[in-house]
Amino acid sequence: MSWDFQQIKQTLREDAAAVASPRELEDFRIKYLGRKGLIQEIYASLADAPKDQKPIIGKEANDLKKMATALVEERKQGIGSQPGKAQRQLDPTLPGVAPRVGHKHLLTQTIEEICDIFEGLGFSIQEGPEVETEFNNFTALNIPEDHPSRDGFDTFYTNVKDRTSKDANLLLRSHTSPGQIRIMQEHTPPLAVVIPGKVYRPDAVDASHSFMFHQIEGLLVDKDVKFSHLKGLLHAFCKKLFGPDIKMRFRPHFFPFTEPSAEVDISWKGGKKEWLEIMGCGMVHPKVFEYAGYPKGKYTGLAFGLGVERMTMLKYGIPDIRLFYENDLRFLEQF
Amino acid sequence: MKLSLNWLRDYVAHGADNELLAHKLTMAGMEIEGVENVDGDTVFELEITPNRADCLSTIGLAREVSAIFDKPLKEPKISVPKIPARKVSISIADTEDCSLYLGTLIEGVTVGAAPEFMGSRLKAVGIRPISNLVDITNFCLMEYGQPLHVFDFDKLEGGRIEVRRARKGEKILTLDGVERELDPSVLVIADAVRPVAIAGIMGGKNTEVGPQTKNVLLESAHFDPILIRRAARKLGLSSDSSYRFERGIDPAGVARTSDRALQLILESAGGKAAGHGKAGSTAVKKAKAVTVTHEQVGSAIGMDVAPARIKKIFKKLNFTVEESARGIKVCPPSARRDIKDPVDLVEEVARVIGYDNIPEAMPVIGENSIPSNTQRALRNRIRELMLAQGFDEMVSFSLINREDLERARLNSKDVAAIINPLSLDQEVLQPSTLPSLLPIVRTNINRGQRDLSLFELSKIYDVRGQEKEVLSVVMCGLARQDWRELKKRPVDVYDLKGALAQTLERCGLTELRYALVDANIYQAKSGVTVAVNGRSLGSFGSIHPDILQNFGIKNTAVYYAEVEIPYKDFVKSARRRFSALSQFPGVTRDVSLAVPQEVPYQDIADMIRREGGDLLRHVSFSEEYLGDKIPAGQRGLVFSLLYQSTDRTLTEDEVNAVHQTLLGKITDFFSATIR
Repeated sequence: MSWDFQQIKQTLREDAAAVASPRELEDFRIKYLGRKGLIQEIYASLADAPKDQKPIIGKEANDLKKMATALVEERKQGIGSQPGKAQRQLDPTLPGVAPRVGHKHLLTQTIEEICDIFEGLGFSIQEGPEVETEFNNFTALNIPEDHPSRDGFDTFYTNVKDRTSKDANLLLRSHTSPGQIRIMQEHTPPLAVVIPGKVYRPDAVDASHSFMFHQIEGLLVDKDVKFSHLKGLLHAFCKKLFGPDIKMRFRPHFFPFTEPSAEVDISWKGGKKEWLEIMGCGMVHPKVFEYAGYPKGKYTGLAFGLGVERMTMLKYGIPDIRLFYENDLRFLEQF
Repeated sequence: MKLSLNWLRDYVAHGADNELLAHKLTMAGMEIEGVENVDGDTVFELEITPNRADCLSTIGLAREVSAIFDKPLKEPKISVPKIPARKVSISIADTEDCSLYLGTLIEGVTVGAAPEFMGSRLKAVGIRPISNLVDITNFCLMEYGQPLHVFDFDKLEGGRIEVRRARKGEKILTLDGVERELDPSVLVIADAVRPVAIAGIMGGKNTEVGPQTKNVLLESAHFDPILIRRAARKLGLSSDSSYRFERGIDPAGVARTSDRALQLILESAGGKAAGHGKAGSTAVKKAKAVTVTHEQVGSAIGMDVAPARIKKIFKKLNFTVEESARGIKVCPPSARRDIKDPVDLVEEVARVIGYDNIPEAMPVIGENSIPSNTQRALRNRIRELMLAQGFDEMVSFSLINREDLERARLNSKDVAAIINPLSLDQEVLQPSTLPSLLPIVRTNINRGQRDLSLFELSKIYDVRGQEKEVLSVVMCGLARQDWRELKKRPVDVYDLKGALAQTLERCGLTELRYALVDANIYQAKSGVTVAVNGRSLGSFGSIHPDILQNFGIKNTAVYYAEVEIPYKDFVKSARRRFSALSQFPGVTRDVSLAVPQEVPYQDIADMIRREGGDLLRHVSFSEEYLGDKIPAGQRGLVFSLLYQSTDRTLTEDEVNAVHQTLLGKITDFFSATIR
């Protein structure tokens, strides 16, 4: 007698798959592994088989026996044949199991969101060092020494000598604006860049102040940049970040490195009537271009700077700046 | 700057209600930061930017309000009697320090209370009334922005005034009751023998006016802003006077305010003007004329403004305006020292038109000479990979306490430090992230969050202030749970290494090398360095328990990594090539070795890869076994090798030949045995 082992294996698997109760499992076992079962029958046929077929039939019979035994075990687990033990059934409401994905720090999220918006508007993203020279942090930004305009920029000085300047020490940048200077020293307009990064000021730490925080600086220099562009650009940005209903106003202000200068206030429709200051901006002061080595009168530009922490606190209703740096897991996991 | 609205109305009838006034001032660049009511008066707290020293007085603000609402400004009428020719001796050592000093001698005054209107005005702006003489100087300060001072003339030695630098070691007891030591960087007002005031900052006790004072010398002067600013900073003493001198006072106001104060003194304290002295020059240098064209204004703000409108705006601001061949020639009043360039005039026009009334336009950004940022791209990729492996991102402070370095067993001497820290907690630029991350671990553990997988992308700084970007990782507590598995397991160094290695490898750094390192921040035999291309990137390991204890972390191991972000290596290895996918079945061979303990896994794996030949497709590691079946001093390592060819099905014999040769080499070279 010849056997179609391919077919037998196929049927064996199908029969096993169809087993749904202990009773059916027993039937399955008897059909294949029983004393009068199929596998016994195959072994019995060995005696009459041609000599060259015997080893093949023997090997296949062994394989089948192994398979059938394994399937019986497997199905036993599957249908829970042991009496008294509860069967595990799929509870679709049990939590699924997945590798955990971590949480990006909220400040990073804000920085990325803001940078993405400006990238979409055609800006590149660059960064600059935190340990800066007095020249880049102040002088080149038209903030002379001994001038009250420095009052807004209390600054940490380091014990490291500035090799580019006599008797000067390096400092920790008190704003991201020195990044503008570095960009302009290395590149010729047209240029459009945003510069995110950490800045430092000797401020006592409380709910709204920190000695270290993040800023994002923006700079656009070309041949015909106007104040109306500053308004248009920042309005477009605010709408993208805070939603199309945001109200925005430009209020005259003073920064030594821009003229005219403005602060930008926003207010939510339907929210509180009060205006919230979110950024400073203006048209690049001709003195700054002069320090950057650009030809006089050739270029105009706009610049802006915003505080990441402040913006994030406004957007998400975070009451205390210290939450950002404490890194309490419960805070990190919220965002 | 506090502005009393009752006081403001003395000079301009603006007709606006408080809300409109506040709005208009804010939109003109003088932001209202607070509003308070004082005895029926409304007081605005205004932020006056450093460029607008002219607005640090009630009349200065009244001038702005008059321009904003187009209403006339009514300045006080000042009339003073003719002062007798008697001379008061006044000398200025250097007119660079003090360009003008006026001293007026008033004899026979009666010290008492100031008139009521004056007291209430002063109280409204937060100045405590003291006596008529002092109150008058304060009143004039707040009215015109010119600081004044009165000396008890009879206490002035020699009855004379010298404006000079302090001598080294000279001392003065200032009106706030503090004795201050001076040096030649400080300008003083002195009599014949001693300083009687620190110029522009504060008077001295020795010549203070009191109830007995009969004769006074009234000072009105103009001092160098930088000198006053430096002295105020050096002495740590700031006053309403120094605040204004630093920002620059109106040189034309020196004489005018002196007369105004004299008038008020004679009215309320009696006496008579008995003489006066002057040093320096009353000639006020006229501000330089600036020319701007209406096209310039239009193209700068993006809106056409008619020349007539521009001229009207300047006139309202009290500028003199002339039409010249080159445009509109403008000369600002002496108080507006901030107007120097055409852009300053553009701003004035924009400000008065109102920024709200300037149209919006989108700039067209086409060409951009700034390249895209590849470092940022790599950093973002590292971040995403760490997040994907379950790590939460931290942001921590990069300034730390020097003692925390010692607590972390790190070098606390050769570091870049802040020379003017606000607190010792922010003194040092971190040379490692460990001291700022351990407190975060402690905080979380103390709040019951004991299972942590955290990372940060930040900078560390060397002694020269050079910045290096690093990836830091901390792990502690139990490994993430799966509810189907009952066993809980603490994280260990392999969890850390796995995440770190996968992150770096997926950034293209496939040739990472690891070696034990003896670093004292780690527990013995737990520190590991990571290197690429023969250069160390950093290390990881289990933090030494002494350090954990120093940071208040108990009963847990903390695993920490700090590795440099290898920008250069990344760029090189990022160029990948495709390798063909085999269509033929492969053959797997498991290898179970017993090797001497000191042989590193890497050496064996490297040899397998090197000697496996072209047919060896893949090597994976499946087990480290340390049991009683392994001889002492050895460990079991199990590898799984896949042999596969891209052009044929391999035969058993073929694979066996290669595999046996390989096994022979391994057992020979490492004194290993096949188990």
